[in-house]
Amino acid sequence: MTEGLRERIRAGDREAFAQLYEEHARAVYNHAFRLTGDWSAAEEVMGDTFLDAWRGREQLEPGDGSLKPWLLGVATNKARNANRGLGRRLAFLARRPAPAPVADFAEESAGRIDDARQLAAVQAVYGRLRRGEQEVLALCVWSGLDYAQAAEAMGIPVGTVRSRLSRARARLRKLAEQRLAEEKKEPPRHRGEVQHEAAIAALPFQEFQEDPR
Amino acid sequence: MRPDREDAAYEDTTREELARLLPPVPAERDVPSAPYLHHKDRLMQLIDDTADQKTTPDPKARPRLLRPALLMPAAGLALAGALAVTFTGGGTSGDTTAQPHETATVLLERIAGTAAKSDVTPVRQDQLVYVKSVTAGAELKEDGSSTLEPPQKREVWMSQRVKRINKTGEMYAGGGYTSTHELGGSPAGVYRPTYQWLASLPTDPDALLKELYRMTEPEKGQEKAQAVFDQIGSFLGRDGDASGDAAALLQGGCEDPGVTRRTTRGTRRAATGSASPASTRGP
Repeated sequence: MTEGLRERIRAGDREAFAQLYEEHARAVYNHAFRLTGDWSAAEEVMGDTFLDAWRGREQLEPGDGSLKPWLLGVATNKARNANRGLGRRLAFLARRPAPAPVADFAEESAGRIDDARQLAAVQAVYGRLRRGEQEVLALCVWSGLDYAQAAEAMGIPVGTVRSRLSRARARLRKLAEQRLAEEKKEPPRHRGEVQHEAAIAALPFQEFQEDPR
Repeated sequence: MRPDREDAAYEDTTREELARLLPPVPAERDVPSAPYLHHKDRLMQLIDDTADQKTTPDPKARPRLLRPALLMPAAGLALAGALAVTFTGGGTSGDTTAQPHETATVLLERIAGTAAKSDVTPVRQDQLVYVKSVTAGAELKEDGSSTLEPPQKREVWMSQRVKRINKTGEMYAGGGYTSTHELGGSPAGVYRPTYQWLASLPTDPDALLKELYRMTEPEKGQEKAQAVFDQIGSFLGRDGDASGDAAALLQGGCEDPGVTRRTTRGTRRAATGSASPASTRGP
């Protein structure tokens, strides 16, 4: 299917775009979520990604490869813009108290808060990486692209993908060791402090967003 | 730095180790159905609009029907207002003639134009749609006379959840609050139109009508066209019977040859903005 699809996309075929959307909306949505940490931001990023794909269809390289790297590349750029100011929102989410019990209306929010907490834990670690490293890591580890595809998505050489991932790995190893050492020293926390902890966990991410790299 | 090996096995071990070093990420989700359709529709519309610009425009082309959800929040108040104007213009008995219908059509066109320019904030799932309305009805008696009943105030809060829910909202009417329930639960859809669901409907009049015919089940003794007509009415009213509005909309935008005009005498007047989102919680 793919070989014809890329050409049809380049030619601006309406049905090809419908197919592209159906095949990749989910992957783009989840990738955007992992970069923004916010489902509604991810939804916007996903929608805008396909609009941008349409507008940039003529810049798409010819060939027969999967179109996923291209879309995730566009989504990565979109997510970068969406992230401006999102650090604050993430911190807010993490601080948000449990939802009030209002029957049906509250159920879904509970799921969101769980996600937010889980995400805050990821951000505490992931947020210590440089943006370029984060993006390549999200593409290769969570979205399942290989190095060449990630290079295509980001418009960078394969060697750069490799070196960014090596740096990310080195830094994550170091963080893991530090964490182990701290856990041995620190007494267990009280339950009530969890919210506070999550708010702090989101801070490095916010600081990171302002890092001019 | 690692030696320059490009083989897949090396890539895989690196990726596996990175995944181990990071805490687990939240599980992947499907795009919820309403946004999924909404964004697809946006894409298709952009494609169509681009294609339209390239080909010579047909001067007789039928105007694209406004996305109902877009029209509604911005125009809800204006629409109700327009009908109220028609109503007062039509005489105190509530009796309508051909002239007020024309007025309504003209006004609707103007409203549609304004709504197209307005930037409407989408209503999220964790919000409620709030409608405050004042309605007054008049029953037509057998001798042809009618008396206007005193106006009734009404407020409703409607859930915007996509999933199937039992409690669909709250209502204030006649001095008391009541919850609205749907036995067996009701998902967002034709019988519980949420903002996002409405936004996902096609904007082309023919496609929209076709879709409505597909979704609407006629009640006993009802023709399909009649059921669809009522359905459009309920979308516009969102809350209760507002077939007067629907008639105006059908005249204004959507020509449905299968629909016979009903002669319900009823008009609505929104005391405050219609469908203005009221946040229950969150930022």
